[in-house]
Amino acid sequence: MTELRRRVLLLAAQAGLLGLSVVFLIVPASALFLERYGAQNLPFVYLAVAVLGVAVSRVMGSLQARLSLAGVARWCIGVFVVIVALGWALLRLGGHPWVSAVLVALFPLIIPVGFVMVGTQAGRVLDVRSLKQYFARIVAGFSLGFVVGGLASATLTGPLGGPVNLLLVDVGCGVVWFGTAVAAGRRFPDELGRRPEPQRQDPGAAAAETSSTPDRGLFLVMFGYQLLVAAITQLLDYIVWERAAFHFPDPNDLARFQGLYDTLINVVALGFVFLVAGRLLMRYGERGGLTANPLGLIVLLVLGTAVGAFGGPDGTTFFVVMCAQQVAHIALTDGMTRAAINTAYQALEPRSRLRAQTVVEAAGVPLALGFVGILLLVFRATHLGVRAVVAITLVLTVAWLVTALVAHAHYRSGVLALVTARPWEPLDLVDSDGRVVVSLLAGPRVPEVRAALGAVGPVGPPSGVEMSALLASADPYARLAAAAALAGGEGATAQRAQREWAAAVADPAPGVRDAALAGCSAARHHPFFVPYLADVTASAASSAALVDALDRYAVEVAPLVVDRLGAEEAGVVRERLVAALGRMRDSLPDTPAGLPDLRTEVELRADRAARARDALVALESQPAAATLRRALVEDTEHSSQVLADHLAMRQGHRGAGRIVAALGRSGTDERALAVELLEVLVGRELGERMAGLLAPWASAEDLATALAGRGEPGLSADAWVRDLVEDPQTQWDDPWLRSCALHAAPAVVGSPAAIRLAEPWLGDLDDVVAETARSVVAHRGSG
Amino acid sequence: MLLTIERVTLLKRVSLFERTPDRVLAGLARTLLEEEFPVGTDLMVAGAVEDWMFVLTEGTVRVTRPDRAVDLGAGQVVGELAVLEPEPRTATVTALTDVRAFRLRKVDFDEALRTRPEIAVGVIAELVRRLREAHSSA
Repeated sequence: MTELRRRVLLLAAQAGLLGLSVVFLIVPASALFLERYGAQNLPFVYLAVAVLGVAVSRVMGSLQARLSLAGVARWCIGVFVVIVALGWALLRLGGHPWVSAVLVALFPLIIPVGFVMVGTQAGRVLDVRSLKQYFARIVAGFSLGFVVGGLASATLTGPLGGPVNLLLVDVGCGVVWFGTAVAAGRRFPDELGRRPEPQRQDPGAAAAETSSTPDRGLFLVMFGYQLLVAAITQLLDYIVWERAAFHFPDPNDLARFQGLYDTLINVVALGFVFLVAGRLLMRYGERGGLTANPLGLIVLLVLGTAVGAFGGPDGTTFFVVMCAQQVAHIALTDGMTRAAINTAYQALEPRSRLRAQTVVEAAGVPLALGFVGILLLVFRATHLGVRAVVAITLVLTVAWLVTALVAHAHYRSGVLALVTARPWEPLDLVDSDGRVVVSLLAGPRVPEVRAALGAVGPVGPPSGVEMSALLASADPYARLAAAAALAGGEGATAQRAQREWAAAVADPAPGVRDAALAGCSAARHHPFFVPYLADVTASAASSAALVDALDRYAVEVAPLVVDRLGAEEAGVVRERLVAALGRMRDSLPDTPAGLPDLRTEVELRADRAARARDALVALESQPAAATLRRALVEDTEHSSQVLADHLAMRQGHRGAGRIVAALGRSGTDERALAVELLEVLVGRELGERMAGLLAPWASAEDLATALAGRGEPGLSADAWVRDLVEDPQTQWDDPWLRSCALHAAPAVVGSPAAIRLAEPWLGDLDDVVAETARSVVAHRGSG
Repeated sequence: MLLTIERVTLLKRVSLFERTPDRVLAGLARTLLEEEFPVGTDLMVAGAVEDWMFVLTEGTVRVTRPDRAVDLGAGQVVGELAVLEPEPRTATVTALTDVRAFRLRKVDFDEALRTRPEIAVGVIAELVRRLREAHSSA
């Protein structure tokens, strides 16, 4: 059994024990409560649950601030067991029927608390990808526990002398559940056994933390989402039981229906979870997980509304549709919604995850029950029938769908923020003082003059005199920074400065060009620089100075570069333009319009990487092809870089860089989160392919998935060398690969064939290709 | 005269460049001056102010400092501090056998550093290695 399976099994066992504990609680508690107080008083219990739920949420929050996750689980389960045991004692020995109301109220409280514990543990011991794949199966443990417990309750009620003693069985289940929580804490001490770090004392920092936009937005929207889930679940439950009571007036028939129907619900849920849910979640991702349930329910509720309108609420068809609604809802909840909710919390900072999940689930669910309680009391008072309940459920489900879409948008930005967060941000010299700048400019030390020139932009040029003097400086950085600062002015000095700067930025010497670019970054913003910067992105290799200048002028330069990219055909120039746009994206408010299609680029790069892989396999046993093999590996890495630049054009250079870095950490939570983010950003299929291509060294499995069905695995080493040299389809279009293939050719294809291959390249414009071809041909004479 | 590809293969053996992609080294390789030193010849002399380093491709040299001497061979570099910051040489390097080496000038090295940060990482790693050696032998 793999470690992952062991983890899933341990969590599923906890969910199963939660299901058993819940069913052995609710069967006796509801039987005793309904016998004594009747169903008409259930809404009051719902209201009590709402109040208690908020209190439970606060207690849970307080426990989480002090205890480890395993400690919180031990406390919660322990308290549950004590309450049930006391309840049994008071009912059995003291004859206090009011205890049944407490136990009925405990039922809707322990389910969300139990799922918080299972869900948060899963969030710690599984990465986000495994969570999406397996959480539904973990939840299936709950359904299984519920089915087994339901059948066992029916069987044991008689032999145990009535429902009260089922509570003793519940105590037993609770003790075993407690044991699994202890075992989980011991097995995963790092993930579950660590106490939370003390709260920071700095009130400003704390305020900033609690109001951080993605966290707070996601928290609020998930609160709304779960409030709606819980309210709709309760309304559907009410509709079914209201109709069941109408169709089965005899209590024995009703009880028989209840047993069969509960079994049907849980069997369907189990089948859905095991056979369908995981695949659907992997295929449709987080958005599908969050929206599938409300979408399916809307269809059935519209059908139910139509049937109710035309056939009336008393018909069997209406009842069947109402049951189908609940069966579908429970199956989708267990199979997709719970997993999607749990996955959504992974977009929060780990330290705020547990707190948010507890507040949302432990307080949100009881509040929803309170809301439903009030709603049902209002319906009862106004004599509105079940069709009105169906209608209000439909309205709430539409709201749920909208909330799901909003939640997905927050999830997307939350994961993006989590993966791309920077440990620190660079700052401009915004606090510079004009007098300090002047004194540094006049100083003898070049580094101080450069620092002062870096501060000229924010504070403005001190005066023409100091700057003009610097035009004669021997240091190109000082001279060209002065030229850039003066270029924004008017008159003869400005024109001279402009000429000097323009000549320098076109200078073939990289040092001079960088000095000009550094000066442009430091000087005040001026449109004079824009066309020159657009030109230099195409003509020069990237450098720190160019990146700084592009950052400063991104808004003006980016559209020019996009236009140029649309017209450019040369591969090297295109790559430079793409890289420049990727760099500029961080300084742009939105993704520029008119970018090349990402899918097409991914397809091209995947094809190329697959061909490189197949060539590598064919050349594996060729000692003379070592350089060629290395070139093929580097070609795939180069493709990764180009794809990263394409991603950067859309998501920003920092973000793309951090995604690639996270993808490079094989087998970690960060990598799983980065794959998830890619799927959220560009879609599941494209994201999966990009994950394999962006860090081909990190996961052979992901690379194989990305390249599946591509390449030409049947070609021989001989054929690959010919293909790399001749490149008949211009698929490689790379002089370095051609040179390496020519170099390997005599050993791989034989000398005569190698000479024939080399002859067309003797006069190639690329010096390395021509030189290598000449060497191959020259060996005819020597060999 | 070695082909560019052959020069790249030799450069790849140097720890300074082992993480640099071949196609980048191909550019750098074309700036290298290929030189041969008969046995007993000085490749560099202590006190001289120069701005180049040597990448040894064949043969063995002795690096003699006032406090000690070490022998270096193919795949190693000598005089790399000069391309970072030209100062008087701190050691004399003499060919113990016939030596073939590439001369790499500061201007070309600077360009490689400017465009390929992994070379800078290689330089730092090499300097740290030398520093540790110096500490351990002190």
